[in-house]
Amino acid sequence: MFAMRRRLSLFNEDGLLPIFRLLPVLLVLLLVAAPPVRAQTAAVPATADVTQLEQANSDLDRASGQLNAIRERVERDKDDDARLVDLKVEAEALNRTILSISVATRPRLEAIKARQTELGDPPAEGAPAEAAVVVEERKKLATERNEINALTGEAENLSIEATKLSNRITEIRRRLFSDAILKRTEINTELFTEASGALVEETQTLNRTVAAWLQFVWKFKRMQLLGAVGLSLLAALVLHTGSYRLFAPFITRGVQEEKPHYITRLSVAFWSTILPTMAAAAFAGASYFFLDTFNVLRADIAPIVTVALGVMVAIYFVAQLANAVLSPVDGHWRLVRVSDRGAQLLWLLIFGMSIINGGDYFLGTISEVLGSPVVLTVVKSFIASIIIGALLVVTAFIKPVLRQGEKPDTQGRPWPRSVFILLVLTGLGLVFASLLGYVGMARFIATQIVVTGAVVVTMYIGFLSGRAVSAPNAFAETTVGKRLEERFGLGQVALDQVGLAAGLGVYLLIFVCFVPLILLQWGFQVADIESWAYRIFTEIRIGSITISLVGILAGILLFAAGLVITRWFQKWVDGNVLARSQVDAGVRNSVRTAVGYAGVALAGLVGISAAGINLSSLALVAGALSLGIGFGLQNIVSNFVSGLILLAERPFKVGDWVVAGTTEGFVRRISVRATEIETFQRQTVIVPNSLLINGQVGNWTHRNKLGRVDLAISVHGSNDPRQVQEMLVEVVRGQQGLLRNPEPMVVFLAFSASSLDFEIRAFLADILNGTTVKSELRAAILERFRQEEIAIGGPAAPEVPVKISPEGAELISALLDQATEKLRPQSTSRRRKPADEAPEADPAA
Amino acid sequence: MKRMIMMLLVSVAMSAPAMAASVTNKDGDTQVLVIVEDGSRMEVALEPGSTETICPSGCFVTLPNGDRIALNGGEEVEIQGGAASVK
Repeated sequence: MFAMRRRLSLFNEDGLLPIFRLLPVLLVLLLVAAPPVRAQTAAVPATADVTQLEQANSDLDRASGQLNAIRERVERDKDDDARLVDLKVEAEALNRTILSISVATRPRLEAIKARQTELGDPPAEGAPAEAAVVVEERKKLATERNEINALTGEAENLSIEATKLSNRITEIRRRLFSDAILKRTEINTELFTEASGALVEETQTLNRTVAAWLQFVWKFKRMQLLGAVGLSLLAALVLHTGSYRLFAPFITRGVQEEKPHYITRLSVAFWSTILPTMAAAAFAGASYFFLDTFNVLRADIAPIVTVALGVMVAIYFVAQLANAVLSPVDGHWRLVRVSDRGAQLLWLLIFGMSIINGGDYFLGTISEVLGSPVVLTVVKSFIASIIIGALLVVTAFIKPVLRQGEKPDTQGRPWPRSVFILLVLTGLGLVFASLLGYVGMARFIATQIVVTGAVVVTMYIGFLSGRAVSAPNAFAETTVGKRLEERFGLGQVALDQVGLAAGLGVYLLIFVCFVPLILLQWGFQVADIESWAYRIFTEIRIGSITISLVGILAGILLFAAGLVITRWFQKWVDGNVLARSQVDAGVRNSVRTAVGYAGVALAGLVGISAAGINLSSLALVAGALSLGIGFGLQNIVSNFVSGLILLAERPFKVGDWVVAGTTEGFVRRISVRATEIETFQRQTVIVPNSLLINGQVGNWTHRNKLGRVDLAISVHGSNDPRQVQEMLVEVVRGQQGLLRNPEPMVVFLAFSASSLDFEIRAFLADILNGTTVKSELRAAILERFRQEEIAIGGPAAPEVPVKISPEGAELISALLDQATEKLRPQSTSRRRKPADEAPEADPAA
Repeated sequence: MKRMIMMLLVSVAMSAPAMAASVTNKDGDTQVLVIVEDGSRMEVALEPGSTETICPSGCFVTLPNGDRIALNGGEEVEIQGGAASVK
């Protein structure tokens, strides 16, 4: 029982609880299974509690013992930074254990208090005495309560001590660091004489030790030594060829490229530094691992070998980087604008500095391992720092700088003044610091210049290359981009996005690889960095608010998973269940949409609670926002609610022909805020749902697609209306696509002097075919009219009756005859016409 | 719709998780708690009816009635008659 409770409380501490609180939401099974478990823990049997208290007591005793042990070890390892870090981590863990031990006693205290309240106050003086059992229980409870309080008090003191110890460790580490840097040694001749004596002794001891070890190994562990060397060489070979095979385009300089692109130069520089260094580091690790596994190393030789391997990797890294940046042989691949001669000199100087610095560390370790006097180490570092300072001053006086456009093989110019001054000052500073006796500081600065400088330069190149790769359209120019384009046929946009992702990836890689390296340089230990990383990911505390990156990430992941599951479920419901159940398309659409929104809401809730955001605090915010929502978001909320009503009520569905206000068209999509209507001109109109709910909406295809078409027909007024009507009825009855029932109708609407107006009213099974049917009907009617010679229109001008007496007519004809004879040679037709018209007009008058 | 979701998200983010324990005094008098946190002992006076946020990473509390309890952080404690009830 105790163990179970302990475990629960541990989960709580780790911040894992939110996820665990979630699982019941996701899995109904867990929801069903969880309450019984909890019920079991709640019902604490009274007999088990005494042992529980004892258990807590013994746990606390053990914790106290551990604390003492840690304290002793801190005293013992006062000078070992790495051990101190581990001890600090242990002390903090112990502190948490102490807290959880006393938290575990809390339920028992509550139970005792509850029981004491039940028993009530002891009877006042003079009142009848209680039963002996009650008095006994009262006593027992009071004792136990006191015991628990005493226990918690003890835990409290222990926790204070553990925290103090952990603070003390931090203090000791800080002092160690400042001691190492600021310790001053008097530099005088005595020191050197002492050191030279020690050097002779050390050389002898070293020779003896190494010779003894070698002899021993050669005699007894020959196979193991050879095996270890062979295996690590094999590993190196595999790594070397493998990395070249895999990453050849990144780390080799193509011969055929005369003038390589800037990005190519940058990325080759970056990767040709990183990959071989990593291979070398892996080789060093493998060597050490094999030597150690085969028991070839001895306790006194192991640290020397370790440092030798580490120093070799560091020197290799610096040399490789200098090679990549300066490219002393090939000027086209140089990243910086320096002359050939300058590049060679700079490379030599940087390499020299790294060798000196590495050698300093190596020799220092030998002195430490062999237990030589400290003066020897001091003198070695003194010499190394002075040499590095001198090399820096020499660097200041070479002339490598080129101007824009100058050829690499020309004579360079001196450094800019600021760089020159900086180099000289740093070099002289190193020399003077050493001469004044601050050898530790000089050594620290020298190491920073060589190693941290190299790391920072690599980071900078990496950042530049990441930025160059993620620049617009730059990735497509690179070899990898071209290859991707060929292989997968990626478009320009996709390539650009890949480039962006690659750039971000490079940034991340730099951050993860190099920041810890620099921190390690500055005296932090691996355990420090681990605990920081752990803290960054699990709890960032700002005031009383704790943010957990892992929790937020888990929330986002769960939300995404919820979305995917929702989509899948939606598709499944729509495709398998609804499609087969023969429901109406509108219902199907509504169900699908509702499922979608419900799923998103559920996924959101799950994500929020997984991110560790308390949903109950959301209620507070909702309360505060409700006024704002009432005013500011009134429209949106009203549209939202209207959308829900639309989904439930379904006044129209997707594909319906609706008329809403001035908008007429087909419904294309109903979402929760607005509905998309596509007009016949293919314009999409987004109509807010509240308009559709509050206003009048016409739907041509609501229950069925039945609809009436009206067709206006006019014929000339001279026709017989009944004949025309019968003719129209015949044509309409013969027309395809029109319904017989309800019967089509031909209505004689109106007549005037010039026209007779009819209207055909006919019903269609599918109103969507209206236009086609109307046009066919018109054509059929026109054909029929022509066939039956029904005049559709009258003459263009109205007829005017003219009255002429017979004498007048004769007179006019005589006059006309005269005129005709005059004009005879020209034309005859003109003259006759009015004469013809006159008799015709007569009867009409 | 998007704006609304954004607003909701922002408000959720503002109501960020409170992992620390909170203590509420439901008594009529000011109560004094002794809290041990991060290796230091301090006294916190609670006005009647007020709520205080304490120990984000676990602590020991000595209550006015002399009881001592340990908190993991994240609990809600109510003080009534000098005694505490932890939720």
